Amino acid sequence: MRETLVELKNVRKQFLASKKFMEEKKYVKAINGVSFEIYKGETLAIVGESGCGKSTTGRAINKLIDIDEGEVWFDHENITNYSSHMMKPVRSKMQMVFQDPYGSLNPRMKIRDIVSEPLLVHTNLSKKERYQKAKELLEIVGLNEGHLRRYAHEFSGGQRQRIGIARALTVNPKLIIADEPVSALDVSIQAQVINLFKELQREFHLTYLFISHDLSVVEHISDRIGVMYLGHLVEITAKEQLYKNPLHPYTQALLSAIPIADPAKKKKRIILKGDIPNPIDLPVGCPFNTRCMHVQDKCYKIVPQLQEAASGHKVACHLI
Amino acid sequence: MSIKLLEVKNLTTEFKTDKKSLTAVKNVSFYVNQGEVVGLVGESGSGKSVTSLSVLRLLPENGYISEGEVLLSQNNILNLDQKSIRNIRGSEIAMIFQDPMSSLNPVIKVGEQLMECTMLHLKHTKKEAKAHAIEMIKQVGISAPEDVFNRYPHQLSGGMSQRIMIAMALSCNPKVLIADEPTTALDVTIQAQVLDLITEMKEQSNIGVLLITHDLGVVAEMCDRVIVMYCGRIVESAEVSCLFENPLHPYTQGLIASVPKIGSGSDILPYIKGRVPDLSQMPIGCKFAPRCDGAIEKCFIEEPLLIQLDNQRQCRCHLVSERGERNA
Repeated sequence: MRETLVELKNVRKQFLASKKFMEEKKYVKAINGVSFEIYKGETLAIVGESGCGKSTTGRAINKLIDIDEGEVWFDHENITNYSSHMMKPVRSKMQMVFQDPYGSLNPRMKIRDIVSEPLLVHTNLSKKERYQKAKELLEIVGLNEGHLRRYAHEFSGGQRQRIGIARALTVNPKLIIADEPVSALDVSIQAQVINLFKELQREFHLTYLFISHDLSVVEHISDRIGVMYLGHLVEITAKEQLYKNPLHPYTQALLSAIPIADPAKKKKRIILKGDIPNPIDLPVGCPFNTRCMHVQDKCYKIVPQLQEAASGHKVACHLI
Repeated sequence: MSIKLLEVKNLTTEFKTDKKSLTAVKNVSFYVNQGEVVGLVGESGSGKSVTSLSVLRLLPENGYISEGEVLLSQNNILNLDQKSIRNIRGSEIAMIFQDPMSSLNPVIKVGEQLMECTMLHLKHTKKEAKAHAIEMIKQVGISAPEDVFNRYPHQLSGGMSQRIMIAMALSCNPKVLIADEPTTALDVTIQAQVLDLITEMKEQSNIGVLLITHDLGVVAEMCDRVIVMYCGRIVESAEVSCLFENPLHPYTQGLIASVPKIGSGSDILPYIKGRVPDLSQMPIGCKFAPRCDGAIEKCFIEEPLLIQLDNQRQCRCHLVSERGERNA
């Protein structure tokens, strides 16, 4: 049995959407009872469209947001009710890489200060030692010493994402939560950064939670993939299984909607009808029942639970 | 013989900056036939959007077209005055932008924004325009068109707003539609819907479409011909199946290889080394030479010409043209 690094147990989170006098408060239901584990040394990808709760899930793990219900376990500790003071040592073991390489680097700080800042927070190293470490890390991610004294605006998107990755690595984390780390980059640069992620994982034995909307990017980096829809985890399984044998109708539609860069392979797409429902008024029963083509009576009444369909392959669908 | 609706000849667009002018697009020539979807592909900074803005003469103030012709049904629209070009935009040639949310006016109802176009160009009365607008909303696949007609843009989802943009672009029966990254801001399942809609509308009204995108997957599924741009220049153009089967230019090869493919099973993704050069610091010879694995001495000294290889195929590369000469 593989060792578990992170475990979410039935996590729920809702955000206040509108509060009007004398009116009932409305909530955006961002995550609705999500449970999964991340094993040590693996890459788990969470995939879904905008508004499905994938980023909120990532933030629930490092407690950038507090959850309403459920439990979050990290490295055999229940961190659900940790205060921010208690979280500090835990946070040095989990670092984050953000989507927007332009917005996540302070424009008024030099690169060496940006990269070495986590060391200032989490360690007692001297300035010289911190800069030395920053230099080493920049070299690891493919930048050089000359870049240390520059500012963020002097770098391209791909280079900035490398700086963000170097910053995440400074405190020797166990887990890296990468929230759409390549979606702002051009294709040719995207491939460079994905390869870098893979190299670093091998070298530093990292565990990744890789959040993305793009199933084709995820294939190259992940070991297991979880698909989210409207705050529910609808399917989770090993990568090969998901692409070969997707069971949930939403996963099937998502896979078939991806345009393939090969005109010889023109295929029949499953075109989903309509839009994603508003997360303020969730559909009763299965969250996917408004767009599913195999919908049955039962789907309008009972929310399907995530169940094991095959070994290691869990699906939340009444039809399976 | 199909009819050339839009033809761009030797287009060069420059931008004035404090110190000097920068060339964003250089000597670009292409055409769009009736009933055809032509893809314009490139990464950010390749000049694909500037090309489309030049065609519509919507360049920002410091941008100007220094050379070339844009022929719309044989008329050069670069010589027209502001008033005449305004008559053409929307009626003869229409555009869909990347971000549907910010392309619609947030304080005017969707329906009224749709009516504006036909009242201006087709001289519809208010009543006619309203009927036409509702008809267009229905045509782009929105159920309850009367309801949507009375809504404000913020009440629509991204996919719906893009449908409204398409309805607006097509409401005056233009001959050419320019779609600039029409699905980049949308989710995959919604992207599939919108791409389907564009194809359907194209077939219905037999227009020519210039599709600008960075997504090679979208190109492979939508386009008949493809033009690949790099640093403001066309580096290769070909029929879509030729381009994907046998890409000639090293940049096109790298671009196609670096797209993540489902089921490839490979561990390391192929990639193009380095990055796109800055407009103000362009290399002297071939613009792709610093990133090209096969670059020879000549590539760093002399910029290659765009060579016509056969009827539909052009390529700008010393290596390819030399190989061609050797074979001949």
